[in-house]
Amino acid sequence: MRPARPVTGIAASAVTIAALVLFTAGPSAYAGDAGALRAGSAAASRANGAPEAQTDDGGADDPSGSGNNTPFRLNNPSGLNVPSLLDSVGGLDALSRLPIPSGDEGSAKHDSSSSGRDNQSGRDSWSSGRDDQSGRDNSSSGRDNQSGRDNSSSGRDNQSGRDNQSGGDNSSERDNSSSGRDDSSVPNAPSGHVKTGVGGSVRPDTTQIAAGAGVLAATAVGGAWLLRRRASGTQGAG
Amino acid sequence: MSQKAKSWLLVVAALAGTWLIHHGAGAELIPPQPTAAQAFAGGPGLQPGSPVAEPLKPSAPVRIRIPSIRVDAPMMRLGLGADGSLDVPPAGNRNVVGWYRDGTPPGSRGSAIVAGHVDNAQGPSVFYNLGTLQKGSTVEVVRQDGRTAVFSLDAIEVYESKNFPDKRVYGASPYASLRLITCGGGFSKTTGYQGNVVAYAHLTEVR
Repeated sequence: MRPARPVTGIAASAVTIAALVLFTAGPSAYAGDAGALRAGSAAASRANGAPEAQTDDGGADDPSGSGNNTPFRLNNPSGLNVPSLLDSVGGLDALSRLPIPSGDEGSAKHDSSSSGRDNQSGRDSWSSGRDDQSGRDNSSSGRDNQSGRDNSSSGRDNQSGRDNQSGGDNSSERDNSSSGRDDSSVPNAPSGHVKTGVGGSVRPDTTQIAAGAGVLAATAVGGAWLLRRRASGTQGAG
Repeated sequence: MSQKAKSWLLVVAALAGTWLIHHGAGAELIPPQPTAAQAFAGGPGLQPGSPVAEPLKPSAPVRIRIPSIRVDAPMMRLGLGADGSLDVPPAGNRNVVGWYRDGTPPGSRGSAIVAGHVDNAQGPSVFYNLGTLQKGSTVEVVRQDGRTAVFSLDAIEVYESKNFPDKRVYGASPYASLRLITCGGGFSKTTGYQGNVVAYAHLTEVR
């Protein structure tokens, strides 16, 4: 019986080490395949979603509700995981085959920063009276804006004042919008999605990582304790 | 318990711990997303039983408050980008919300378009928790004329960027309506957020 114990211990250690190596090395080894598979499913879901969305655009009142046919609707949480899993695994090649124009999307990050600047210059041209550019980066600037506007003119007259002011530069746009403001048509409405994030809040699941580290630490302690007991037991018997 | 069993227990524990770490590092926690229950049930419409206030005359918004997600931010005007999409507030400022200056001001008849960042490169921004809003959630907009327009949420939905429903989001409204937009959907390290979260609300009260 005694000879069997060290064998078991050695086998257990070997399996543990093998498992560790497998788990840590596994993702890089299999990333390509996994990415391709997942991207494939994502592409399929997008392809399915496209025609529905088109009908949705055409007739805005389709009774099924457009919310139901978007792939990211959360009635299937697994569907939501598809894109994030896909990219966390790093299936870049697979991604480039997706119908989404990667160039366009790829530039989204740049756009979000650069459009901020565009916007800044835009503000310069529109709001000549508001010199709060430098103050915009802290929240108190909002108060400054407010007071600045209050000074410039009283309340809602400011609105019409701005329209007059715009007569200089982009008068057609502004006038259309102001005249169409209460109508059913919205001539100068924005189009497309809005680039309101770059992913700085997306993060790994630290809770899970911490739990895993805790379990591993406990395992190490347990292993050490087991080995010591075995060692002392062997000595006592021998 | 025999030594053998203990050894195997350790092996299993080591495996479990390794798996947790591996899985946790691979998982990506994205900002909260609305559930399907918060979407429009049968096409766009007002939340049943919710009061509808008379629209106000146009006046620019100066501040937005969403008590349930602790948003209290100044508002700035937004134009359009070269591609016709709505500009966004400067990403460096985490606590600012924009409104489409050439459209309807919040509280007036029509669809007021309001956008805020879900995050920037450093972390969460003003609309990070927009996806947790629910039907009936309150949004307050303080306006230049001193009035506070109080909106109630009718629905909150998620759209893929590629198939963004322009009419539904930017289209006209017979009421004083509000659209709150931020990024959402899935997230890709290479292409960023895959869509937008859009909250629909209408004017229920004026203070």
